[in-house]
Amino acid sequence: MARLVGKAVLVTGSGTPLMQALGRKLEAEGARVVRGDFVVSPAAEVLLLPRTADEERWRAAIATVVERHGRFDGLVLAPPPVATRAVTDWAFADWQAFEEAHLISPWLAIKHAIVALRTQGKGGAIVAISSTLARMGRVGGAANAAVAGGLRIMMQAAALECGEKADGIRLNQIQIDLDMPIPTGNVVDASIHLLSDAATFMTASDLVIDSGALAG
Amino acid sequence: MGRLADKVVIVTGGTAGIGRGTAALLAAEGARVVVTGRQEAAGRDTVAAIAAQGGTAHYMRQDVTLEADWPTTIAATVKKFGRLDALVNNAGDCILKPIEDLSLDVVRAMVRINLEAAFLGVKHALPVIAKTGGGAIVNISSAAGLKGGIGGTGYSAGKGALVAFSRAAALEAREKNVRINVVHPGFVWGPGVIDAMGEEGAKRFRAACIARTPMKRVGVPEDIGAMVLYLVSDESRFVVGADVTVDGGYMAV
Repeated sequence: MARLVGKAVLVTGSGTPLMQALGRKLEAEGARVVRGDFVVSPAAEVLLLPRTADEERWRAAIATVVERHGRFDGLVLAPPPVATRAVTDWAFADWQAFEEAHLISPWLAIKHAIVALRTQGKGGAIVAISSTLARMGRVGGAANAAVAGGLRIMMQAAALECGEKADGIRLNQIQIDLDMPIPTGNVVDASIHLLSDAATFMTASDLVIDSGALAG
Repeated sequence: MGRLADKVVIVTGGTAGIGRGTAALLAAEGARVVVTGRQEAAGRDTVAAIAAQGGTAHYMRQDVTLEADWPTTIAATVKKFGRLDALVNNAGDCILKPIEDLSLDVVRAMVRINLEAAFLGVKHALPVIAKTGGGAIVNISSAAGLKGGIGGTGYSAGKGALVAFSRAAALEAREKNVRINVVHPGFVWGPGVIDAMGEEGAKRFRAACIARTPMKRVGVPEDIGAMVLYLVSDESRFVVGADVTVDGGYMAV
């Protein structure tokens, strides 16, 4: 039985193999998918999403989902790229650009997703595919750790705010080990679970998919 | 095709609450479920309800804290259904008391049911699941395994130890293609609460739980069962040593 029937979901990073696979499987589960990417896509229906903190563009992207499908139920944020560099080797401007793209811009996406979901008034799910560096250190991993850790706790705070309003909006992270090949099928299946109504008691939670790397 | 087609799963403490709801969800996805517990009437009622929904379930009496019951239960499962794919260590108990009123016997009982039972389950099920070619073990801890609560020193000692034990066990089990993960339920409502606290006490406790849960509701057994189903299924092949909260946001407060 399809698990996402009728739900309209925005998927970012849609040009990557992971998010392509995700988009196809979401549709197979009955969802209507709007794809967005940070680079111009040859496909006209793919939205151009901002790499930088462009508030108007994020607001418009989510409005487009509502325009196309008459509703908006979920957002899946693609994982950040790996940026391995020692703390002392980062130029401040580069660090700021990374932070802008992978912490501040996702915050804007989440902000406008929550606003739209609340307006609709039927709850919804926000899933960020992030990194286990939200919960551990690694040599050269400071920038990824900063954005993943910041995003994680920011989403937990947002989840508490949604709880306070009893608006049925849930925010959860999937955390993968960015040093391993992406376990695409597993991340896709986990995303479906978190977007589905089977997970309506799950918020501010982390689902770690790393073959036990974080555990030991 | 169900998400667990033909898998054989033991659910301990499956006679009520989270265990019963989980067993029903697993069976609805095609698993053949062995429900264990000490309450025979409730166990038979659980499997009858599953059968009425078209599922396959079988009740076996088991005291999970007795080592001798484990080889017996597992052997009987393999005899009945031919193999073992997964174990859900769900049986648990919670007694809350201020530490100065808490007896050593109660603390030992909390560690026994919440930690030792899972240890025995992993120890005895692991080689059998490995023989099937791999599978999964899901240990049900609690939000109390991750953070404190007043009156919960004994309970948290058991559940906290279960989390740490599970991480270490996950690394050993991984070698045998068996995945061990932990689920942390928040406040989940079951008949046990009323049994333990009485009608009035349960009503007050429920209001307190809702007030402390960001999503402003208590969980139902199926909320936890849905995550157990995912962790038992092949959808979570790469998920090892994880602990997942299903708690309406309680851990984030």
